Amino acid sequence: MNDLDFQVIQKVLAGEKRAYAQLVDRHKDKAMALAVRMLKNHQDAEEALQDAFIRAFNALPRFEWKSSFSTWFYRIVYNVCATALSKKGSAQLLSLDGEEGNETFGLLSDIELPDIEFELDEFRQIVQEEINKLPHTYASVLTLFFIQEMSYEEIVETSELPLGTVKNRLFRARTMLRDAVLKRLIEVVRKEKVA
Amino acid sequence: MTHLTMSQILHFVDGAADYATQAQCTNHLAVCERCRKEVEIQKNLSKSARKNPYATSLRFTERVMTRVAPQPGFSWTTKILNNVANVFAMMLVLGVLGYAISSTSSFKLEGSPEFSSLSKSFTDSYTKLKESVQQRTNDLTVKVQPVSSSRSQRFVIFALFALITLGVVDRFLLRQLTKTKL
Repeated sequence: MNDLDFQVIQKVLAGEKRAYAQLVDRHKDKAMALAVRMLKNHQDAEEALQDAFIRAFNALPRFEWKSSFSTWFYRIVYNVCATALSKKGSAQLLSLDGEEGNETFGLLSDIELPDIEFELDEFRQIVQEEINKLPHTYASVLTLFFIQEMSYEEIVETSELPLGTVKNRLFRARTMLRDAVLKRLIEVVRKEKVA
Repeated sequence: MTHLTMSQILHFVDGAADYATQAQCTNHLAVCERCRKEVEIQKNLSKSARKNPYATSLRFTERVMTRVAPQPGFSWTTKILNNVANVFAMMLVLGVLGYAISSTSSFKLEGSPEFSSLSKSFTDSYTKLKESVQQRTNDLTVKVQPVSSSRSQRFVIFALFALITLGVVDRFLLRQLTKTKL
């Protein structure tokens, strides 16, 4: 448990409600990444996040200290976004897509590795764009792993998906991202050669 | 040559591989350029994916806090104290209003010759201004009803002026100075 989160939660539970602003400030941006990547829309994401913070505040007296506040809170964000997606008719998030089972030990894909040097900023931008293009099932797991820096077990706790599914999704997400980014880089090189 | 699997490479990059796999990967990478390149790409991908390009809008926290813990209402004492400046402003405006009315009327203060002469000069100037405006109006041959500058009309004008001044003082100046949410 993060000591700062712990102290703030104690204050809030003791009646100092305004202290909750510190928790909001500390977690809002990382949570925003998860919400945007699930809902694919900044405005919807911010509304969902606001809803999640209010739900977390109301549920704080029932917080059992079994996990960190962030894991508990991201589960709320994940569920709020999942509900929003299901309202939109996208039930893909909750289905397992036949992913349960053996972990895939994929071989390297056939995309030829380009022998190029790239600007780090340009590379980062391409990576971010390609993550946003991933289906939300993969983008969400990838975000929990990289931005929230969660372990497999914490992702399981947040998403309530089986461990095998989490591992498979993360593996597929990283493979898809790698292929998409390499394709973009090859395109960039080709365009530069033509120009 | 058998290359490393993607799974082995990802575990190696994440630092999550066990000791034996770590050693196996290190030995292989020493002789395989393709796998070295792949490891490099995965390291760059991980580094870039860790960057968070998203942020909430500026007043997000404030909006959440308004919903979860709204500011308590002010007590009567606080309200009165907060409005002391308003009371002073009102007194100032009413003072100006009273002075303006008394100086343009036939009201005279006994034992105050300076005040009477000031009042007389103000009334004369006002009468001259009124006559010149009347003249100008006649020159333009526009028939308008003669303006009667009765005491009640002047009172209405000054009352409006007082209200506007109060509004300006209250809404902008005082609130900016005290930063008080009323």
